Amino acid sequence: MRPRTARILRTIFLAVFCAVWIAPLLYTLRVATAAPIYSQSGTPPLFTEITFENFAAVLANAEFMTALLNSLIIGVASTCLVLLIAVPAAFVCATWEFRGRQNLEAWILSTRMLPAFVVVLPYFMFFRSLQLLDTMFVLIIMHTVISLALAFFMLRSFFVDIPRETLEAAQLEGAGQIATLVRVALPQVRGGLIATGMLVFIFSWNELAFSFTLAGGAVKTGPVAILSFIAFQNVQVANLMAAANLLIAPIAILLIVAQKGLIRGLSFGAVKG
Amino acid sequence: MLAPIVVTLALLTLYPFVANVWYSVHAMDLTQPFKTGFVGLRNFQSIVVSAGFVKSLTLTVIFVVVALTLELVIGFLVALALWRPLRGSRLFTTILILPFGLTPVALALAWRLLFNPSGGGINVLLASVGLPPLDWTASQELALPSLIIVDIWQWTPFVILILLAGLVALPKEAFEAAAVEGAGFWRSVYHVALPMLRPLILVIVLFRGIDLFRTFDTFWVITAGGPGNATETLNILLYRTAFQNLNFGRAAALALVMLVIVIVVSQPIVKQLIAPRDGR
Repeated sequence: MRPRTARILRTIFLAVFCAVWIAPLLYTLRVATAAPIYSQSGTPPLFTEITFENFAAVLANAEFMTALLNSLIIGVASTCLVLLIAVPAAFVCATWEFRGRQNLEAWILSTRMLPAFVVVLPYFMFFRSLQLLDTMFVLIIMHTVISLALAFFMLRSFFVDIPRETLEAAQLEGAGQIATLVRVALPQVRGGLIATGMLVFIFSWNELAFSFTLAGGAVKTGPVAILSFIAFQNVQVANLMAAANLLIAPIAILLIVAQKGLIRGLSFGAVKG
Repeated sequence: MLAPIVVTLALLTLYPFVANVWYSVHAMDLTQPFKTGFVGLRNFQSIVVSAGFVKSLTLTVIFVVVALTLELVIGFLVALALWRPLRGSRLFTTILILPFGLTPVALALAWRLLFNPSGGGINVLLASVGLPPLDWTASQELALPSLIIVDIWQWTPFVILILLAGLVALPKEAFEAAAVEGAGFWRSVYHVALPMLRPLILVIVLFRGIDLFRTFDTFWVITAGGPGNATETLNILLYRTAFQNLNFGRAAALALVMLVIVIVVSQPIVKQLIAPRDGR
């Protein structure tokens, strides 16, 4: 096949793939911007006028907006906690060889393999006995825990790339491990740190299983609140899709900004992205 | 500097494990708070022998194997198409990150609507080309395939981007040597690229396999295990046992069985991945 023909075929193939893959997202936007009168039948005509009244209705829904605020608070708090725990550990594992390092890393990786509910059952009982169910505190802790392995391996892959000489130079000048980390290593991985933070936040924002079982009454996160929309009969699908779009909008922005880090994090540093 | 992570790990893994083992050998039916006590392996017996478990296990295996295979095949083909520079491929990768990065609940709601037998987007599309409507998630036969479609949509882009990163990083010399020997594109992909990508493919199989095994959001939002129990995978069965039947003893037993399945199945892959590396 001539290179030109091959290129045209590739372009057509990718364009078709892209169109099919983006269609569900466009569909949600179409439903969300259709007049509510169409919402009973599910699918509005493709070319009908665009209205933002569904978005206005969702923005005026205090319960949903509170849920988004909860998600924001839980996301920011758990991201800070994750970084606080994972940064020093990833730094040590990436730069110093010590006995048991491989075992420790295997242990961290193993947390990625637990089905969520293996962890949920004991914690449900534990927090129930402490009367802490349905609080922000519980979700901040659990969201910290779910992203720890991901953050560790992602940060480690950034720390490994730092030239050893700069670290050794700092040590020769008498800086301790913490000082080396804060003053020499961290400034060199600033981009990686930000990407990791964004990814951890995204994971917290998207999480359902814990938010749903350990809270969901007094404290609802975005995904839990949107599910309570469909608990009612006669769902206004246009409103539902508007809410879905509001839920994913901040994440879409973060994803596009943190594009490269996303692949690195999700592959646990195996792919530099 | 390792103390915080070690403490967190202990809380995350040791405590739930010990607690699960404890619950699994006790009567822990929250609807019968006074019937407690040691029951030995009775929880395991009642869960494993039940017809629901066998059905759930079968559904889970079908879901994991079919979705993973299709995601790898489609993902590899698209990654190949993106391999050599092409105009607009940056925009393409930006579009690709959305399905697996955006909130799964929101996307699952969109698919729930798309699959709606009366007036859902897919049936409207089928009707517009003259095809009869299908029942999708509302039918016993099509419910699981529908969920497989959603997962393929959501996660194939991830497979594409990982394989693409792997392809781009391959040394050019190997392909030049193959070209000198007269190998065409597909031959060099099969004999040169695929063997070199093997570790990366193993990573995908491991992580994707585990994620498929424990998928919850999509199932819960779109079918909640239904219709009937047509899509009741092990994870949904576990949720229902714990939080609908409130039988924590039995649920803990099921959780441990699932844990054993994950460990046993993933062990050979983990070994292969760790073996050839020297630590870094």
